[in-house]
Amino acid sequence: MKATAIVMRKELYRVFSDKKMIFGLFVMPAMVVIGIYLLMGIMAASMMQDRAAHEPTILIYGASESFQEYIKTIKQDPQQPGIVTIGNTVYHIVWTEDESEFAAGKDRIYSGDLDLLLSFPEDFDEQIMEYKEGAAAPDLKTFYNPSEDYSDNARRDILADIIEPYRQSLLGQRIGDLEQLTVFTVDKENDESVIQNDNKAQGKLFGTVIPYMITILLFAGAVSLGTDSFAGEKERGTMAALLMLPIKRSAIVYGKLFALMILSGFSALVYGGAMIFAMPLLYRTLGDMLGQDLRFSPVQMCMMLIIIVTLVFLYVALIALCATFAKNMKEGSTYITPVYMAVIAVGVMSIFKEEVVDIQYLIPFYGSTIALKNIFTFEVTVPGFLFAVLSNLLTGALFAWLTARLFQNERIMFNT
Amino acid sequence: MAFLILKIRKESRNHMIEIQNVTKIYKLNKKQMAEQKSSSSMKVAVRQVSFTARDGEIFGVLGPNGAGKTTLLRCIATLLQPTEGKILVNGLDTGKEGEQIRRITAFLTNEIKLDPHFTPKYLFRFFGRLHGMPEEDIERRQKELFDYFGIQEFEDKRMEELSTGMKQKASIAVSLAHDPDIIIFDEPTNGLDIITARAVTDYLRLLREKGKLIIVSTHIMSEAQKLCDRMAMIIQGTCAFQGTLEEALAINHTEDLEDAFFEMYRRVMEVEK
Repeated sequence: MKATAIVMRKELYRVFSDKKMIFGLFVMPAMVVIGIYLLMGIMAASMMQDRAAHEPTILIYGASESFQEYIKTIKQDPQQPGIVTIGNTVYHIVWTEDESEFAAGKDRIYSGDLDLLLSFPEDFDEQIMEYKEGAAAPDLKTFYNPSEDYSDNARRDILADIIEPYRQSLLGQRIGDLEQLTVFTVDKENDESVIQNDNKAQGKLFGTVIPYMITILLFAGAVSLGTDSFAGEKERGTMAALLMLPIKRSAIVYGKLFALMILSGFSALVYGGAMIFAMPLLYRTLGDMLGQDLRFSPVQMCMMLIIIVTLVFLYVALIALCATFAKNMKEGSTYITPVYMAVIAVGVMSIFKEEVVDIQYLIPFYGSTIALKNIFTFEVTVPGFLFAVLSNLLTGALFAWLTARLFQNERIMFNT
Repeated sequence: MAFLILKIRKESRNHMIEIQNVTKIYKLNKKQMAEQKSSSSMKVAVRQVSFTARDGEIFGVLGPNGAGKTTLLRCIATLLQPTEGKILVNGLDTGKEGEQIRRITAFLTNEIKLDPHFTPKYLFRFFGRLHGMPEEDIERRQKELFDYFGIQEFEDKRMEELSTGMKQKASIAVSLAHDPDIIIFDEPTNGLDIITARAVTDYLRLLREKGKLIIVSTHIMSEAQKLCDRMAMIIQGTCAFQGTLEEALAINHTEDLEDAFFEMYRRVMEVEK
């Protein structure tokens, strides 16, 4: 036990006495996470502002008189006819009766010069006025370019801001009181329709992504350190010096494992902390305060902590096992990569899993991600939680024991 | 001086390494077979080697590169297990009582390195503690060894910042922290400059005077001639000779160990043919 503690202290000192390692392992990841989230927020906000600031140009071919009259009723700048403002959006409307201009309009849509082309059928107003039950309704054609954001938005906005109100006005003229078309309404005067636990709702949202992120980050934090601590020491020839000591080889393995657990846990904490710090920044930048109301109870936090600690143990034991097989860092990375992929796959599986029975929590790796997810949503059961912890401890202990066994194998330790 | 040496020898207990018909066979995988251009999946590194080394002597394991010297030393140091035969260190079996043997031995080789990130001072304390030494003993031994090898000047520098000679001195000091009775040294002067090499060989002589048992492997016969009291010549994995320097010279009718070794080598190769 004393030897284990000495080895552990040395492994910790190795990292914490190296400014470059501290920066690379703890400071830089936090900066990267915060930086990425900030950048995402700034870029998304900038994109939204750019879209909002754009004034779409619409070419209207063969417009009916009633439509032209309708447009006149919308607020327009008398100095600049053809410029219509609805809400915060300014539309530049160009009227045409020229067929060649209509044809050229399609090319301009394709090249992105024009945002939207509207085409009215001939005798649009007559068809509306002389409509008889069962006859085909006149069809208003729109031409737009969905691959251009401005064009896509222009069509959506024009339909909502101008065409739909215009249709409603024509419908009103045809049948008088529009209310008679309403058979019944739903929740029109019911402000208390939504009955939910806000935390659970937020938890559900976070529960789909965060457990997945936690498992990935925990593993990522342990990979480079674990590979270096086992395969790296073999490659540098420093492992043999440890094997010459009059201590049990399992003491070396456990010392390294405990140090890795602390370092990986710390690394995950940094990642997680950076995410928690950066996420509201992202939402704030986007003008959405989502995620700020999420609160965890002390029981939830304890459960999460226990799952994370035991999961770290499982991960570092698995990484140690793979790295011990390797002769050098490069080989170690090669062995660990497929394992990492598998961990990611298990994380993805947990996102889509809705119902679980308690026994499924016993499945190594999978059980923990499910448990984390269900802790977020308040759906975890006590046996399920205990099974997940037990599974982590037993599987981790098995991997640690196998690693200690490998340390006895001269073929593996000395590449003979 | 002679009285002092005699007194030290009397005070020390008897230490002994007995190699009994040791054979070490490596299993080769396909890649290794291709690398070594071998059609067999087995490689006999050491074949039926026997000898005994006692305290107060420097015992040389001599032979060309690839003869099996390092394998044999690694077996004595408990890092490898003999495929056949037995090695007893102070009566302890290397196969069963490795931990106890490692308490009283030190194994130094260029292949075993100290972590480049740490300083000699830190590593000395780290290894001392893992040998179960009390702090005051670590302090005393550190002063002793660091003084002798002049390590104080660079004791706070990281290993990666040190020259080859400095690293070797630090490695020796760290390996000897626990004041072992038996020192196994693979190619002690390999890659060292003349000054550091002399410091190392002088220290081995000092250890012998203290009654320690020292086993060194080398392919430099001039070094062995000056340093070793008794020796075993390993050629093609087998022990072609064991005895004193005088016996080696007399049997081969030469006045130089290198000539004696070549004579021995020629005879073994003739038999092999």
